[in-house]
Amino acid sequence: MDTDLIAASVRASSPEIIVIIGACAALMLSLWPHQDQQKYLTWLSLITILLASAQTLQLSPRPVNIVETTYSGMFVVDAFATYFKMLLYLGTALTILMSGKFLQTEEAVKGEYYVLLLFALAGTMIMVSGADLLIIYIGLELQALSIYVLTGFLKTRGRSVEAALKYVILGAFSSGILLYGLSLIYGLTGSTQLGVLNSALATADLSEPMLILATVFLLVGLLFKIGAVPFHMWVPDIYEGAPTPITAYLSVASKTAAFAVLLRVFMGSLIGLEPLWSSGLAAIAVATMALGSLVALVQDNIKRLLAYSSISHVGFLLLGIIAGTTSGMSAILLYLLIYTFMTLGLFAIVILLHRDVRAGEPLTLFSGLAQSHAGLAFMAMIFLFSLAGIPPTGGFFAKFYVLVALIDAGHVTLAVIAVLLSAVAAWFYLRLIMLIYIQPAEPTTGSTAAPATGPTGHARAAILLSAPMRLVLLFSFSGTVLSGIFPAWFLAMARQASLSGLGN
Amino acid sequence: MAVIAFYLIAAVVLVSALSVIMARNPVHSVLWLILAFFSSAGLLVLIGAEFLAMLLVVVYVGAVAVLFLFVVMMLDVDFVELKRGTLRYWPFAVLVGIIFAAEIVLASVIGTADMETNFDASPGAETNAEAIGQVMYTQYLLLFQMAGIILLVAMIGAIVLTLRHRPETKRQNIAKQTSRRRSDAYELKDPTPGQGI
Amino acid sequence: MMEFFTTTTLGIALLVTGQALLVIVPLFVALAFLMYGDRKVWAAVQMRRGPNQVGVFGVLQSFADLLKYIVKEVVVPAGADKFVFYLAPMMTFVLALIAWAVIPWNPTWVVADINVAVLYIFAVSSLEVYGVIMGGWASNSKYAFLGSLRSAAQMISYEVSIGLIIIGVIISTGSLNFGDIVAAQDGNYGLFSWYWLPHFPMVILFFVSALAETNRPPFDLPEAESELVAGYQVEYSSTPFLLFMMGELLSVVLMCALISLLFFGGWLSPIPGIPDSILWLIGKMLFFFFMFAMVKAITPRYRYDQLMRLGWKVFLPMSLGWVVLVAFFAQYGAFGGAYARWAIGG
Repeated sequence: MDTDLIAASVRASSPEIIVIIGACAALMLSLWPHQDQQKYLTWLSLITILLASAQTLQLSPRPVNIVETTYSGMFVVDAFATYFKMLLYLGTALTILMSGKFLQTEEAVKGEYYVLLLFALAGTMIMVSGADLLIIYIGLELQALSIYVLTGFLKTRGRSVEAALKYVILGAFSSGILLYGLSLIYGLTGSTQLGVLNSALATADLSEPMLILATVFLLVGLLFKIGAVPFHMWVPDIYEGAPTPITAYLSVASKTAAFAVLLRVFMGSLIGLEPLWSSGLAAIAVATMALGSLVALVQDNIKRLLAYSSISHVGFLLLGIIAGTTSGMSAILLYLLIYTFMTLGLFAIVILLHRDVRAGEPLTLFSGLAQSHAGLAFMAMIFLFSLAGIPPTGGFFAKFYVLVALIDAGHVTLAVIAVLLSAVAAWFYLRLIMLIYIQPAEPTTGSTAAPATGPTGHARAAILLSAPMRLVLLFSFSGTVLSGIFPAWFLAMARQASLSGLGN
Repeated sequence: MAVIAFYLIAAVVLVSALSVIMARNPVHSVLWLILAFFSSAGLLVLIGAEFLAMLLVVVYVGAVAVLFLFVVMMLDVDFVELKRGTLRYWPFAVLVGIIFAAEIVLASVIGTADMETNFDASPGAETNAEAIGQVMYTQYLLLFQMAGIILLVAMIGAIVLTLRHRPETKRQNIAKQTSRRRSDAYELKDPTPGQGI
Repeated sequence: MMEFFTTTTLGIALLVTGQALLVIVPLFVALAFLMYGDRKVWAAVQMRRGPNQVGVFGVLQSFADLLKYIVKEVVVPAGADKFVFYLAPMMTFVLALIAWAVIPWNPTWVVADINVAVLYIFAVSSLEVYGVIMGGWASNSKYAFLGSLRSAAQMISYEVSIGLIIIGVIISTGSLNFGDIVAAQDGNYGLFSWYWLPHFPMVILFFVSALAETNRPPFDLPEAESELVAGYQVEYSSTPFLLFMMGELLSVVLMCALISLLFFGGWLSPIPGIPDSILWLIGKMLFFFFMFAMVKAITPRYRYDQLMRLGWKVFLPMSLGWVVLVAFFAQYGAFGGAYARWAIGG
């Protein structure tokens, strides 16, 4: 590897380098005591993300089927990685925009918050561009480590610290399992590079127990990260305890990156092992959807409800992998994009309604929203419709294309089960809409809150829509609506990206 | 001779690793752990990876285990009491144990056939340190840099989670102390008797 | 005859044992006089006489002390962890001793001529903290425990800057072997060819860090007698105490050897024309030992927060910056290649 190769590699990874430099600059800036520090940090982070996305687009391969491999085969730049990186930029930028207000209400304004978010972004970017199991693992750890800290960022709040501790322990455990799978794969094939693995495993004996074990460990490690049943138990607790913007980030960006890895590894290099994992994955997908939808019905905390909702969405996304075709993959890519829009939009509204940490986030936060803030209520309704998959919102088409891919691949039974479970899931989204439109605003939030702090009723009028929050709502709302009106355009984009992802 | 040394050191590693979990006193556990690390470094020396061996000692024994020991000595936890609770989870532990044992058996029965027996600790270079130096900033540049960033994030995270500014703490500001002049400290007055200042 | 020592297993073992004894025995004898010298310097600075009863001018004082330490009773405190209590001084002593295996006395006189000698020394000296921690914990005493905690933090802190300073020298040489490092300092200008000149500020940093690493005054916080009585040593008596004391002194002498080898040309003669000899190395070590003794005599003890501040906020950034600077100088051959005397590669 000579200097030219290194230079080419550095150039290929320039978006990551920009993000890391931006994070370091933010770290320096966070040491500078100034009353507008938070504002500067927000702008710095956003500009960093903007620069990185410009660079990513500039590097994006034309024509799309070109795959540029650098760092001696560890790092790829292809349309698949570009698509996911843009998705991650979107998720992180919206998270940063909605964080400002939340941190102010919680009195936890600290520069390191933005620094860690940028580092997490760098980790996820490495994950989606990784073409080597080692580098994927390293990216995963960078992302996870930053998120562990951010989960426990409200260090004076017991719930936040508890969630961080649980996340660290379970995250380390799942990383251990993943690493075990990686080392077994390495032992069997003598390589960690995905390209080499693909050809080495093409002729592998599928009945070899070590291979089965390795596949299972690898799959379990990744399923842990996306929170699929039976490895979902960390999701509700951590979603509830983490600061709300971080919950949004967790449910969007972290999951997106983990899905990218899942797709690249399992639909790319380990596609030869499909008979080993496809039936198990189908069972897991159904169980995930069922558990997510059914348990969400009885939740009374909005963040826990969204946690279970995200579990059921993960189940739906897994169905796209089971379809195993390019159209299944592009359906997943489209789904992730629309999911990013609608989830972040809903979380932004949760943050706007959030008043007092002691009260938590009960569902009744939403009650009577239509009376006081008709606009917000309408947006919330659209997001919820979209999450439920009701046309003509984007969420409908997200689910629709997954189902189409599934039926095309011959899994009709699975598709029927998915539709039925979506109907169950729709019920709890509708329940929320009912709260917003039908229920009158309660003066207090029921038994949980102290009367003196009464977060909803009286204080409702004081919701202040700051410019960043408006921007978040604008982006997520228009994304949700536009993807419902022009689904074909979005799908074409996803299809282009998925074509290159399957190529390696 | 090398074979005898290998079995001797490997036996020490195994015995000390076993003692880590068997020891009743947590401090003894850490001391056994240190012995296990140290002996593993010995194994690395035997295969010719002396640079890695020294790094293992410097990093794990010299720094990480010191902090382990530090923490364990300061904790006043009744570990016997703590261990009693863990007995409830024995079925899970047995399950994990069986899985791992099965894997070792599988690996040794199936996997040894095509296993590389000639190990070169310093491919393409004279010494182990040179061999690592040749690939660290070229072939493994990305991994190396990313590992560094992970450490940076770990450092930032530890500071974010633990640093608390206590306004009542007295701190020494050396620059302030040394820049203090005589005129800042006192002034000369000439009080008239009976009047005061 | 020679073949027996170079080919058979038993022969090699005997040879190595012989070589080790050849290093250890003179070292122990020297140690006795160094301890005496240390006390004499201290006494002279304080205008006392120091030991003057045993032998001419008291030169045999250390041997009398040795006898006393050996024949006295070993007292183990109640509630002490007996095994660890005995293990701690032995560990200190043994670790201080095994480091000498890689110290060369001239180009060919070295017990173990390994490639990673510098790293080996660094590894062994990073282990020396265990004797202190274990001793403090096993004594079952608050003072001893506090002393060992202080010492753990202190030794780890200063190891960082010592390591970085050594890396600067390694970058200049391109080798981890002491023989190569000394050979790289051989030049036409005698003592001005040595590394102390190009690496000047680091010599001082290394000396100060060495003081902290060996728990010598002004950084002897682990045994600060005014607050912790004698720190981790407070419960030790008789032979275990002797082992602690000898271990400490041995690591002081080792640091003297390190400074001489890394920065002051080891066995090289300072003036061109005069032959290189082991005597130069011994002379340099004695000089630095004298410096250690003087520092002990004339400096007041640091406060703990000052110690930590110095280590992390002054020495660490300075030595880290220096590594970057040296790497830059070495790569671009600055100052007539003074920083790029690569023994190999390059």
